Amino acid sequence: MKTATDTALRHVSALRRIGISILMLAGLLIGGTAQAVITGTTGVNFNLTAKEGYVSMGDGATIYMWGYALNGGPAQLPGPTLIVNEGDVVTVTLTNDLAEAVSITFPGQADVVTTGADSQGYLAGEAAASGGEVTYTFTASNPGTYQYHSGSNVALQIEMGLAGALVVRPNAMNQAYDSPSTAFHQEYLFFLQEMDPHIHTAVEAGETPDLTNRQAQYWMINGRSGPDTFFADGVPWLPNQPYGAMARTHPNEKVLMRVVGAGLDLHPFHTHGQNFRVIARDGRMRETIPGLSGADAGISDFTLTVAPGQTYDAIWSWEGKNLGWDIFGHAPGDPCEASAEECDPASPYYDHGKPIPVTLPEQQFLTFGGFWSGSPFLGQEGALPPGEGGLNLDGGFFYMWHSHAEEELCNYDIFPGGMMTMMIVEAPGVPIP
Amino acid sequence: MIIRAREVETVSNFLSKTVSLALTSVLALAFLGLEANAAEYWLRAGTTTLTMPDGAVIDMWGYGEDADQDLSTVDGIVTVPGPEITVPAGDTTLTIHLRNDLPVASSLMITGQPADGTTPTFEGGRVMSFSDEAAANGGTVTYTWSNVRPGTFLYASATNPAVQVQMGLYGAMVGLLVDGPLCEPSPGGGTAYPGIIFDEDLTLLFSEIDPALHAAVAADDYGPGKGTTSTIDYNPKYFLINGAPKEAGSNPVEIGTGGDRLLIRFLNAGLQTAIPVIQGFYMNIVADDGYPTPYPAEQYSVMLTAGKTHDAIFSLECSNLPEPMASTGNFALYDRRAHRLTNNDMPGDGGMMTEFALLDQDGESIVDICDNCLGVANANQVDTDGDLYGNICDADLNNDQYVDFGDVGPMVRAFIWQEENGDLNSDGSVNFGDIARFLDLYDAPPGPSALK
Amino acid sequence: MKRVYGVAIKMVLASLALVFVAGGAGADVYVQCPGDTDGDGVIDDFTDPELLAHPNAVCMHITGGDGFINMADTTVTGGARGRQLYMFGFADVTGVPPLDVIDEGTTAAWYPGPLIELDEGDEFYLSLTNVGMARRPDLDDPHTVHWHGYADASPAFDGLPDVSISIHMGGTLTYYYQANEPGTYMYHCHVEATEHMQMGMLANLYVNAAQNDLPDGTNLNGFIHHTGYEYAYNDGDGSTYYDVDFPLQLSSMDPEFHDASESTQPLPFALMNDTYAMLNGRGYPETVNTAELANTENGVVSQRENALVEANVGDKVLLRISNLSITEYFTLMSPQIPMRIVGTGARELRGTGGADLSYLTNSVNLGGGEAFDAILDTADVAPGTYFIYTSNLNFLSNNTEERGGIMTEIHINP
Repeated sequence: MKTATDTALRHVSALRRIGISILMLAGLLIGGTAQAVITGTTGVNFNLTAKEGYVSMGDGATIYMWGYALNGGPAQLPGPTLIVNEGDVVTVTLTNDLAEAVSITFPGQADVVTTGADSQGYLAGEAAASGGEVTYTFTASNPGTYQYHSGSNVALQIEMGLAGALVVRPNAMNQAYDSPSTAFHQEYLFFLQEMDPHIHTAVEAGETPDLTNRQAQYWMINGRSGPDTFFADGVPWLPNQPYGAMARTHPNEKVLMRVVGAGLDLHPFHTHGQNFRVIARDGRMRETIPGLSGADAGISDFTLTVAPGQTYDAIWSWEGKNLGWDIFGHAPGDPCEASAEECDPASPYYDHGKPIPVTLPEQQFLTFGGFWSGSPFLGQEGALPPGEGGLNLDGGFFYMWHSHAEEELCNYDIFPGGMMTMMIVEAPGVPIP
Repeated sequence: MIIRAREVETVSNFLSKTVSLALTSVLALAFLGLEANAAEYWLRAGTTTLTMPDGAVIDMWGYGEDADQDLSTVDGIVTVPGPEITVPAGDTTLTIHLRNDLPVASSLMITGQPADGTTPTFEGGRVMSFSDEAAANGGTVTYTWSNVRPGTFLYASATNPAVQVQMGLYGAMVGLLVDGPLCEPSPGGGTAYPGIIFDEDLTLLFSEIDPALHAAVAADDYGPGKGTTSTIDYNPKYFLINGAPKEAGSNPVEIGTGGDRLLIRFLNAGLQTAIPVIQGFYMNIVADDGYPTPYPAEQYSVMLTAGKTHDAIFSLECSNLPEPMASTGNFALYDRRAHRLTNNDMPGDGGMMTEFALLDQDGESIVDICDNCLGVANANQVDTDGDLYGNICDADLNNDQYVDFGDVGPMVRAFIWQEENGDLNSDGSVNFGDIARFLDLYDAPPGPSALK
Repeated sequence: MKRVYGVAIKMVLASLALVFVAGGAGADVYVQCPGDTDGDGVIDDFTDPELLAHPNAVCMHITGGDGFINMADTTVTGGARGRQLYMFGFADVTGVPPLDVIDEGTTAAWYPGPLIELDEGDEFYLSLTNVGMARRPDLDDPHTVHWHGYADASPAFDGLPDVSISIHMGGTLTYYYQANEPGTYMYHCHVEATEHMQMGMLANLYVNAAQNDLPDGTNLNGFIHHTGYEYAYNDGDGSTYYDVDFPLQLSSMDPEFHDASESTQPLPFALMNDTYAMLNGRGYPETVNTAELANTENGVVSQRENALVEANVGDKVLLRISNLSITEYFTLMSPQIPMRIVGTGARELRGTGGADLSYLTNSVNLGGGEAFDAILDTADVAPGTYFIYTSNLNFLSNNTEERGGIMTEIHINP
């Protein structure tokens, strides 16, 4: 339960309806900006600084946080996504601008050598308060999705924001691991965190919060709560939250989801549109025969339990088949462009040219979502009442990917927001940058 | 707090040396089955207290092992968690006699191990206990399990568990498939599940304390019509491993005594999910609630939900150790739900974290699992012939894996020609000190070395 | 009372009809169902060409609206029913003439909503009529159905309001789904999901496997199928065979949120604290009460499902477990009878190469939107009463009442 100190911490003025408007407006900005690559920092030498900063939440609240900064830049939520290659000898130098000792631990990396530590934290050698420095070196021996986070005063410092993603790419292109079973066309990072703003307010005021009373009120993907997740990477009004979370793909393409549980609570991450297939956990393929079988022992599911500290890689693909109608909107005589099965009358997936068996209600009975193209068919647009829709210029299909603990679709007291973003299936031929 | 990895007593050493793994399992079962005695425990449910790092004294309920196996007298120390119930390999029967000194009726059940012929009790269409109860203030009950499965299990009160388990009535039950080591040089170990062998095992039981409930129960202010009527406002403040939270001065868990395969038995008697992470290592998660996992996952973290047990094999091969650890030997296990790494409102590290200390029993700053000669401090680790037996443990100069008459000639030659492989004590020359060491090692295999 | 609100709704509908009469559409409830001649959602003309073109058509008509339920804390209230809560929900009006649907549906929602059980290959025509929230005349919320987990979903029928269409008060939206993958799903309203789901717009949904319909004597890799055999999935080897199946949906409610909604107060999103934890819309011991339960507000039978699991010794019992709590993960434990988990997320637990990933356990952990298929083999189980409950033991509570919450019984008969 929450105490009565709720008041002074936020500048929330938006009402619920305004929140929805923001959600809709956000869509205006996504055209052409979602990128099918993971934005991060490549190389083998990284200079990070732990420092104070402020992050902005989807309801307009500004929250004090501690984050890792890259090359003296602003503190980031999450910390810089470090992208390295298998076999790289990685050196991370951490400078501490905070008023308490800080460090980095790299779960899943086996032989981190620490040099120049000023003190020993519980999980890692530390940089002393206000100017200390420490260096960590390790060999990125295994490809995969990992995280890094503070190894000092971890009960507080992870909550304050000191966590980031580490992606180790295998030697093969467009694979998550050294196995063709992990091949993908598009890849996205979903770095899940949550915050209790009361803890942050207390720390900013120099108080010691009781962490056992923690109750998160903001839920983030890639450091942003909805609808800010829709915005492009690096938008200037979110200087401490440089990573967007909007994702795009085409039918039949394989999307690699790199999912990181970086907060302190579990989140059920639901993929509208289709099940995903897990290929790895904690940076190790799920194999029936280790080293031989490829990623063949992962489950298919429509909701992924994302637990703190764990990472998950999964493949998601939308094919639009076996629906009983032709979602690509073909007439019976149109060429077959979706899949061979779709045009094979012997296949159970034979939908080619089939109309929708029901008619949609007339407009006066409907509320239209801003991302609704007006047409049930991929790549097409239909008539919409004035002022409705309009945020879906290419007739793509929007699928919300979100925490299915719907409590977490709020920014404090405001719905909608929180841990949600969109996966857009674009029509074949629509370019994805 | 000192937790120590348990070394399982060697039951039949000859098996381990002579028979292949598969055969061993079969034989051991048959062999042990003949001499098996049913495991029998006398437990007492009673009250005790735990003192938390902030000085808070928490009234607990717990189980104690009755010292004289006579439930008509009150003796034995009540602990939280309760005593570990061990069912030796080959045993399929477990009997537990329970005396209840609590002010309310109580009981005991083992998740995943159905007891024989117990009946739940009901009142007004609502279950009071999932199993047979011992009456309050001295009642007794006996449970029998005639079909015990090997594995790692949680036992706990089956009466109003929302209250009684929270109060501390829980413990670990461990059953072995096969006792005894299957590989040298392990002094202990066994087989936990088919094909899952270990050199040493360690029980880590996670639990939580919400002091508000304990205070209400102790003040007789819990129950219908009283100050607290349900457990819905659960808000734990203390987070324990094996009954204790981390605090300044907590002792590390000593591991690395028995070889390189450590079996960690994770149990969660708490009401919330814990995510234990072992720093810098991967584990193979081999069982779930005492059932072998079909394709063990290799992870550095374990999702340990409420009431769950998982077994993980943790390979302590020296080659897996990061360099600093090979000498300092300490690394951490912690709950990644990091806000629980705290003791009530005290700042700093606390809660569900512990350190592992790799043992260095001969004290030369080379941890045992990396030491090419165990039992003798040989900091230089000299191994002239490179056979992974340090010289001080290696009088097998002809490398036939046994120190015998065939090594006398080479030793004499080394003495005369001052060959380095005869310098067993690494003092720079082959002298009578080395001859004496040679005689110590005579008529035995070389070693022991953790690297072989 | 009910009639007054029904009249209010009709007035609103009338005004809508006036506004949009130029569009030519009536404001009446409009159910689309092949072979249904009178608009009640029941197929009655089996020669209808539309039905012949869609011979696997299955129709259902549900409402989205408001209503009342009671919690299980009868020892607190001292009455036959526990605390009454205002709620939003779905109700089944299949077979109700269209002109009566608004009347029948007003403040008559169920919790959980009507169970949807389909066979693989069914063409499911699901009509949702928004009957409005009569107790909240200030609200004009639309509603949707989100078939949670439907494979290769189309946004048009996915029910996510931001990206598709949702139905206004007085209107009917007919969803069309070809049941393309067997398994355990769930459905819920996705409009203002935090509010509408907290308020109760959720239910069980599952699809039976086509393998059930194989010819008698079919050899499934050594397992001989016989007519009447049922399987959770098209396993090809009988490994998901079951004798009886039971949906068990976990959920929870925050009574303060519901009371705030009923009294038109600001909704406590940030303070949300679910204290009633339930299985199929009931806390123990009402989970084992096989009666359909009427609420204390208007007598509507609004809690129709129970969660009692009954089987005979030797039966394989399939539990279709799902969680639609919007605040809690729940670990569900069967301490005495192990569960073999054969499916998650409406898919059989098989690897991409066919490896059997099913496993034995005594508990599963589910967040909101997760589903597990668990088979309990009772071959070695003595007749008697066994228990399934949450090992998050604090939720063995009906708010302030102890010995309740997420728990039910398994009755194994000789």
